Amino acid sequence: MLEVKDLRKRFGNLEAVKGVSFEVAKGICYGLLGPNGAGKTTTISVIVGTLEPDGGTVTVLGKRVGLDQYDAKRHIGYVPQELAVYDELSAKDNLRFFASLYGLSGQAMTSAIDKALEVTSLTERAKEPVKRFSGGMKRRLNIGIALLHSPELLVLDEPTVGVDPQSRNAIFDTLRLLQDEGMTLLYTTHYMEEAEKMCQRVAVMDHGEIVAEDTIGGLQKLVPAKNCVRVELDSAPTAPISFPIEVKSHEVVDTTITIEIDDLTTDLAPVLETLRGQGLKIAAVESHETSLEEVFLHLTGKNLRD
Amino acid sequence: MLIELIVKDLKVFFSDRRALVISMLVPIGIACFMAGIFGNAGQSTQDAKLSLLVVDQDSSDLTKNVLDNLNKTRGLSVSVVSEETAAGEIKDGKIAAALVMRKGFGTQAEAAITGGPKPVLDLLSDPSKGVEVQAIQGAMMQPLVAGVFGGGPAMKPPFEVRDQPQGVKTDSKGATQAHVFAGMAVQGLLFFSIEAAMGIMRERKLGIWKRIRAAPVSSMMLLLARIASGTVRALAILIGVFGFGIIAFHIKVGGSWIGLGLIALAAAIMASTFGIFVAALGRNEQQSRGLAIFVVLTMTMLGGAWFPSFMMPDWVQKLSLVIPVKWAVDGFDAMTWRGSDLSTVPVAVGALLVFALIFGVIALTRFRWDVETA
Repeated sequence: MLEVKDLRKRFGNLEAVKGVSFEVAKGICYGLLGPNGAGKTTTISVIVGTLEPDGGTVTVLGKRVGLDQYDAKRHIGYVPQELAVYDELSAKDNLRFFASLYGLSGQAMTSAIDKALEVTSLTERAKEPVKRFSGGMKRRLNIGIALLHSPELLVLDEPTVGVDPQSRNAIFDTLRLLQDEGMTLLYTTHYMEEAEKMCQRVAVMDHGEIVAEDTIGGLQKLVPAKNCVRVELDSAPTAPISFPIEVKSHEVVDTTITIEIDDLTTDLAPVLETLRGQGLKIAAVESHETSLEEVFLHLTGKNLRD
Repeated sequence: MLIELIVKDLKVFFSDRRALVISMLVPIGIACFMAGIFGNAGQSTQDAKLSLLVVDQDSSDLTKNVLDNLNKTRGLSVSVVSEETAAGEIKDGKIAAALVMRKGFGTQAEAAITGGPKPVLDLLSDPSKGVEVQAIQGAMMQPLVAGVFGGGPAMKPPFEVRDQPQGVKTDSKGATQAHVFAGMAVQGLLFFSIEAAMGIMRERKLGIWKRIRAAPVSSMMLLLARIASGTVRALAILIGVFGFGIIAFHIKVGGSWIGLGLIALAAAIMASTFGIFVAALGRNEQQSRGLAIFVVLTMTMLGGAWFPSFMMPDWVQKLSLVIPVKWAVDGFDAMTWRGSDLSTVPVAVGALLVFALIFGVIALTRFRWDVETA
């Protein structure tokens, strides 16, 4: 669906994008993950054809993307990071204007507008000026505008910035629906949870480069195994605990024991058996996998939100 | 808390140094300009001479004497021309007044000194330049009387001066009002342009232009559409201002309605492209607004929309030729109170369209669609 090859862009002395390459297969949600200033928005700008690169190419469905490459642009829907809507106009008038830019008119335009309003759950408020909308509604309209011409590729640049959790979930539901209908999504974010929740494949960007690119599971494997198990006891242990297997570390704080082990499948049972053998009653057990946050920290040596 | 709030506001104000410098420079620039013009700072008083055309149909010793005296008068720049030329120059707004000494004036004036009937001197005048005409009348009377008396003791003038407004389809008051409306309408257009430019910048900041550019539409088409919509809005302003003037002040269109429409259209196109020009060159609203207001105020002053051009030095009057305001105001004057026909329209329309073309080309080549971030 989308192929980005050796993309380069410089602004004065700043090399914003340094030879970025990746491919996005049809029908998946592909995440472009990185902190602010990583080069995501510049990469996106080139992909949607609003910025000419200094080097490299972008193709969508085999068609070259560029400022005046209208064939390729017709296949791309773009949701900018900003709320790029006219506050003074109604949702419907906004949709009508942007639909006209893609050559829609008459019944085709009416159908496209109705569908966009339906998908974004804004049908009831279609005739109201956008300035009366909540932030979440504006975000949904921002997405709806990009859907008008039924693009095969939807490019979303940080689409949930400044949105409350409820509206964020509504946006996720909308995007999943679109993906179920066969749309390909390119999703940039600096929220790890969003990438984990939405994306099947992720490229991690930092300082204008892709530092890793894989499925979520593949990226997690880049970090040395680090499975933490937290055991909640009914009462605090009265004597030091010794485990029959080698655990990487363990820490006891009051009634909570945090244990780091290599493999949950083989190591967890002996740990629990040891605790039971020492007369301790287990109230709860929980574990977590390596997060993308930890992957990013491992790859770049810094936190994503730094 | 109050101090913290104040300090925060001051920090924000001083953080944009370029905007700060512009907000200081605008009033300083205007003050220097006005002081330079009205205080003749660094200028010779020769620069502020009033132009007077003289038509000498008598060619007698007395009229030659009068001419010599007028030529020697500081503050007057005298040229001798035919009556036809004088009337044409005044009708075109190039000159404020012309003195006509008709055949037999010398003999009649000499007879009037000894009790005969007083002859009449015609003063052809531009009714839109009432202040300048009065200044010319004041400056010419003393040398005129002295010339008639041949250098002897000046007595009561043995002649009468009759004001003859030229090419006017309305009275002097109506002409002045029409001129004021023309000047303020053009100034209003340019202020509208500034607001339009600020709107474009806000849309750029909101990412709307970037989103629009992601659509399969050419840059040329987007800017042309913007120019067209700006032109329509500017035309609406002109219709509103002149409509009010016609209803409330009974301003008359003494010339051609078609000509008035063409000049209004050209002025609207010029204003619309000027707005995009400002948006193309401006970096942010704060900086651009200050600079654009300075440019617009300067253009309206130099273009003659505020006060008569004779009050300005020669070099300023020459400079006004490269200012669109002058051509728009002159065009509206010609079609309203001057009562000119369509033949005067092409020059004004052509000049305004040339300015529009210059603004448009610069805007198209320099327009920034996005505030790019890495």
